[in-house]
Amino acid sequence: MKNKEHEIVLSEDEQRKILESSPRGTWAILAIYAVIFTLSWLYFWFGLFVNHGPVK
Amino acid sequence: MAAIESDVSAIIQSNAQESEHISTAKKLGLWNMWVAFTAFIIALPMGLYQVAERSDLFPALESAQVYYASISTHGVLMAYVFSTFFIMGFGYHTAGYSLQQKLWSTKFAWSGFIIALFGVVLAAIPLLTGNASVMYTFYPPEVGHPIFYIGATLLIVGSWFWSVDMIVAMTQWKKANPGKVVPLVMFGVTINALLWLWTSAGVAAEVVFQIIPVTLGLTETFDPGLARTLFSWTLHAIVYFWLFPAYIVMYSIMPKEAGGKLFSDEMGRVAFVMLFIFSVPIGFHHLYMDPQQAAGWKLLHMFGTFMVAVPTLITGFTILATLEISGRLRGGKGLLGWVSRIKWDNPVVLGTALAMLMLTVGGWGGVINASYSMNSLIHNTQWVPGHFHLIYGGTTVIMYFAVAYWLWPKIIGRALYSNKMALIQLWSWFFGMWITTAPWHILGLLGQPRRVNTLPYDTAIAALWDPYEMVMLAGSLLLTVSGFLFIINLVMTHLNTRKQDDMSVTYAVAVHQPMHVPKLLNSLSFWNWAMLCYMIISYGYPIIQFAFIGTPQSTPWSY
Repeated sequence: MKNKEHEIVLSEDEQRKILESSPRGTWAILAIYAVIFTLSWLYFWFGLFVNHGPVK
Repeated sequence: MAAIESDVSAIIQSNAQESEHISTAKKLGLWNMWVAFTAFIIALPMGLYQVAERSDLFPALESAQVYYASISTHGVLMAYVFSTFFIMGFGYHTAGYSLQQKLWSTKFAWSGFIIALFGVVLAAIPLLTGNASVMYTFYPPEVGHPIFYIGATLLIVGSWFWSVDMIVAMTQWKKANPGKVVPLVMFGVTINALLWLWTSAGVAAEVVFQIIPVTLGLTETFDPGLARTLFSWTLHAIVYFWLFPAYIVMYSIMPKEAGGKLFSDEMGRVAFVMLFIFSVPIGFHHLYMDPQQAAGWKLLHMFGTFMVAVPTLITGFTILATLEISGRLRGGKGLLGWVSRIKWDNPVVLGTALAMLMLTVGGWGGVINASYSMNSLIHNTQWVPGHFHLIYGGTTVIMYFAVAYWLWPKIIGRALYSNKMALIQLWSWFFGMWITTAPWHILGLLGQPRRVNTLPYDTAIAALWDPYEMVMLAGSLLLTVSGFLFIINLVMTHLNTRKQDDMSVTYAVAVHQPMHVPKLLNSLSFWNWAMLCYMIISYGYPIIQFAFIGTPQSTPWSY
């Protein structure tokens, strides 16, 4: 994540294309998050909660 | 000639008016925020002490009396004083700049500030002298000195002045600008002010009708079941009151700081409205183990609690998409190549990303808490403070820091003392929070109870907890250092001789900045009525039942 000074000049067309295109990177990150979220929840449900059984 | 003179006169008058409302916004913003950060820095080392004391590794620190006084003061200062004053300061500043109009009554605003501050001083006396060691949760049958409750009530009353100020400011602006879209930043601030009025009503009713009469000796008993029910009304929604400014900054300040545009203004409005509606009538997930409420009501609140995830997911998507836009506008290519092009050296941008990272895990933990049956895994264990520290101390507070780095130079006219120190501080807070809260969660899963200062249990089990407590101690130390770095940076900014070049306060523009939005996304009255209906449905019977179930030896409403 090291920051560099990016003085990139984009044409108006390029800028418009970026602003109007679907945020595919965001979709990819959220898809990965959804998978991790679901698997973790399932682990808690089956691995910790159901597996624990009644309190003795 | 006369016309020109008239124009010049009008411009001079307009500038004078602008100066006045901007000056008021700055003063109210600065005073409120300094009270907030003073409370923060007093409370911060107490957290380190509590982790050390609870670990049983330092016999010299062992003192139940000091521990409970400390944890009560830490909780009240961090959760009520720090958050409330910060939010008020941010709100006043936002109202002045985004609406470009005078507050309807500056005296009213300062009166609220003085009442709230007086309340804090009053509450501090019994807290610091060990006469209100009841933690910050107002749960009977624990009761402290009446001055503590009277002080806390005055803090809330003072904050209501702010809420009224914000609502009136937006209403006046709408009247003066018919058909125009309320700036997103002010829409968020105002809906949070309304949220606070709804949220704080529960604890206010509890304190005024139940706790204060008992502590003053006017009545002999109260009903802990009713008190807990009323406090649950406040206890969860207050988290969203704290979190709201973080979301507002992500939507309305971060995109511009990142050098891009907000992905969608309307999604911000939808998220704000949903956060408002879904956050208050869901408090029973704090009462899953309480006997005074039936399972059906708890189930209803569980579904309501899950709904809060929706505005959070909307926010996660919109903010990430906004960051992606900014990274691509700076030359980022490919699926994830934009990540490295984001302006990571900007405190608001960095704060947003770190806050979102903590929110993803904290939010997931919240789903575990809200799941009715699975809640029994972690109920009243150390998991719970681990969770709320990650959400509040992590996601929310890191954004408060980021806002301060952005606002301070613009308020006082001096350049930020050190941007590098600010970045180091944000990173150290982020890592400190993880190092503290990850083992905290694990300790909860291992069965360590919360709200206790000593753990004289089975020696073998208690020994398993030691390594996690050592890690927590390291994390707390890092957080303490980070917090002091933050305050040093602000103080040094006041002493900085370098002037701030860019004094302008402007807010983000969306990719498609709306000229019109549906009335429901530009007004609060419908949502206020919707909240009333939802509250009657989810809290009506559960509260009224105390009037006729007849809890033995208790007086529900002090009659």
